[in-house]
Amino acid sequence: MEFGSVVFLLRFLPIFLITYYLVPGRMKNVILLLGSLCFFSWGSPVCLMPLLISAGSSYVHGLLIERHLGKPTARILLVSAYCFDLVLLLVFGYAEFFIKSANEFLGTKLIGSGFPVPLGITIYTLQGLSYVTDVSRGKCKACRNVFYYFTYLTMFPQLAAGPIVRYQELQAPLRERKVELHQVSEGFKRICIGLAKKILLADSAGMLWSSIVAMKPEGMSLATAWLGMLAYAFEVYFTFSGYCDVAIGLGKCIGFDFPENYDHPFAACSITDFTERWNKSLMRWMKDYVYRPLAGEKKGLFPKLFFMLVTWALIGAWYGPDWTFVLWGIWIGFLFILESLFLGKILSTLPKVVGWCYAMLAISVGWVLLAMNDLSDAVTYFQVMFGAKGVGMVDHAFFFLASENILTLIIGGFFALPIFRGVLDRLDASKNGMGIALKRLLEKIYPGVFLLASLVYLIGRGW
Amino acid sequence: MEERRNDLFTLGIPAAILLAFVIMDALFQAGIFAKADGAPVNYLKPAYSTGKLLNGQIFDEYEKYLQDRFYNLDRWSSIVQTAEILTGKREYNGTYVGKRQTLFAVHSTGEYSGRPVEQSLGFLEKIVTDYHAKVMLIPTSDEIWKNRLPLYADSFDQKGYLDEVQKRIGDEAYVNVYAKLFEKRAEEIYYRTERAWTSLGAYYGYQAWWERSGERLSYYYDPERRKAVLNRFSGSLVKASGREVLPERISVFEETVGKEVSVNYDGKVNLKGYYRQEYLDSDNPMGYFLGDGFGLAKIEMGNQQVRSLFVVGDSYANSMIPLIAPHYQTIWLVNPKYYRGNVWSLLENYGSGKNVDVLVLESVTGLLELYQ
Repeated sequence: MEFGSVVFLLRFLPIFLITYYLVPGRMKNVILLLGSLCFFSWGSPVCLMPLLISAGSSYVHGLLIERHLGKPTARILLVSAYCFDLVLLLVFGYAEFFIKSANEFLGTKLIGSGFPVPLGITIYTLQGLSYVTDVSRGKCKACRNVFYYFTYLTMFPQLAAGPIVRYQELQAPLRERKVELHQVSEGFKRICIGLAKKILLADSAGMLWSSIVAMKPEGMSLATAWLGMLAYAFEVYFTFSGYCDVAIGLGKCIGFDFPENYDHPFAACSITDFTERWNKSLMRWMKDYVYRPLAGEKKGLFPKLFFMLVTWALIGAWYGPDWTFVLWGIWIGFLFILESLFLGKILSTLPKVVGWCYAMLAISVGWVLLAMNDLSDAVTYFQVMFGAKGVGMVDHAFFFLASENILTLIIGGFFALPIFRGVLDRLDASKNGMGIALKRLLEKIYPGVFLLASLVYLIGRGW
Repeated sequence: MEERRNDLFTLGIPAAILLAFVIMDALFQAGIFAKADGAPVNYLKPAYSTGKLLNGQIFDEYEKYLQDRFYNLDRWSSIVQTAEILTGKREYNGTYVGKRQTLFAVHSTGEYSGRPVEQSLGFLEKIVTDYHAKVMLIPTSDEIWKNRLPLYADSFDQKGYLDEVQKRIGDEAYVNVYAKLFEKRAEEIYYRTERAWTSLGAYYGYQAWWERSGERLSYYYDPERRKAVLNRFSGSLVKASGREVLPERISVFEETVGKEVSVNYDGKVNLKGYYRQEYLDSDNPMGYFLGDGFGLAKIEMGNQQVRSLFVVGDSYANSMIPLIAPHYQTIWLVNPKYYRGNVWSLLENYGSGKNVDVLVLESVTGLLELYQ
């Protein structure tokens, strides 16, 4: 079930929220758990299986690890927890990838199961692993209540696209939370923003990208190729950040405070800056549970750099089961390393706009790897982007597509860069009472406008 | 207190909007109608089965069912399209929304360049050399009505292609329909909502053919006496784009109506007259002109003419055949898009001979699409 679908917005969400608000405090977790299980079983009830197995495994391992804290058994149990969850992830999430790779590189003729990748598997796996690791490090107590733990791990709002939330961040509100009017109001606002990002911006940008990627590269101009990359970038960013906004908003509506996950990554002036703005919860997770354990105590620069690259390759693989995703991770990781070695210092001496141009160029190259299913397609697209192939600098197709989508591109830019927030902050800070009044009026009106436009477009554009 | 009031206001508006849509979804019926792309609406709830539940198919079907049955779906689609048109969108599902209520099928340069051009030229050279054929390639509306296309719309250069055809096959074999249609471009020579020329456009095509054919006698058709057979016609481009424009009219020349000609389709079905009335009430009213989907038609005029005509043609030919027919005793019309046999074998059987003329009567894009 997608957040931006008729069945979620007009059936599931109203029924869930009304039931949730009507039941007394102790029952709210029951409704949350049941709602989450319904959410995950929509699409294929079989997808519940890995979720429940993973939750059960990390719950049991957590208890056992705590019982044996300080002994070697705890370490063995931790390894066992990792093996169990990673095998589940590899079997359900990456089996097709390995089969495809084996067929391509080893000449085998294996056939995949055709089983759909369970929704949220990469997120709940990481959440479960962070839980057992934090228990083993003594950072949090093991959860004794299986019901609370399952409610945490299956919580549907953030399992679709993040943020990745650690158990200790939700430990207290799971036991006791109040849902206040101001929180619900802020939550609804956030949901409206998220839906507008996904339905109005991401889907429109996606249609533009689909038009461009359907063109033959030989018939594409350089400008059209770059326009395509911008469209793809907007589609990816507004989808992920839109869904995160909906998740954070839903969390507020039910009494949870999820961490922010995106902070205007298109305003980044370096790759390092970009990684601090893009999918922040994933970056933090990888730093705390992959990079630091692997490279933390190693002496010498080379091991640290090597494990940094490995971590980035894993980040790439997290996004999707394909070698182009891994290459994307390695590309970003390579630039991250260059910046940490010397490039960052050089960038800090240059005007911010130079850093921004460099960052956008480097990230655009990365987008091509994410966008293409095949390395050879990516290489061809690069050739068009840098003028080695195609029909020259500009063509009619570029002007036509750009003029058709000019509003999407402008509004996309407005929201991708921190302009909207900047306008609201400026109004707030204005000494002029009119500015503050205007800001208050905008804040009252825009959620309704965004929601109405999103619903009309969702229904009017059709299936 | 004020903060509480602000919160209620901020929450209340979107909640009220969501509630309104929930009520619309839950209470109202959308009714039974076809979607813009012609796909049938799932007006029945999807049938349950355990297999469909396990593989998730039931959920996809249910979501589509909810989407297609939403209250007043047409109105919402129309609002979205109007908003998109206002924001500059001009292409929907392979259709350009042009000026003056005109829709155009997208014929992009990349789609038709290269191999289709070379191979089609090879075909034309061969048929002209071997069978002394005349070649009459009809430019589509996006070529003649370029001024109505959206700004910067990509459109294959049909004039350039036609010039190349003329150069390759020679002036003698080439029928310059382009010049005639371009001269008459201010008139309604194409349908605004269909990939076809009108009977008026076909008439000008007939004039161009007559001027090249060397025929002494030209049959006179009075454009003022055309008879309307369908007054509110919306063509396939409306369905493809989902964009409603002003409906138009299908007319035929009075002089071609009620003729006692026999038409045999694919050696199986025999019918009388040029026009198939049953198509006017169907999804494909253009089938009115000689029918649709046949590979080979044999039209016998029952007149005193000596000569026969072998036509390699598409749906554009269907509109012109009634005008050209009186010049011939028999017309063979093969549509390569649907004919399953070998066109060259047919030519060998029916296209060679002292009293047989051969004519390629295709739209430019129709011919090129055969080689894509």
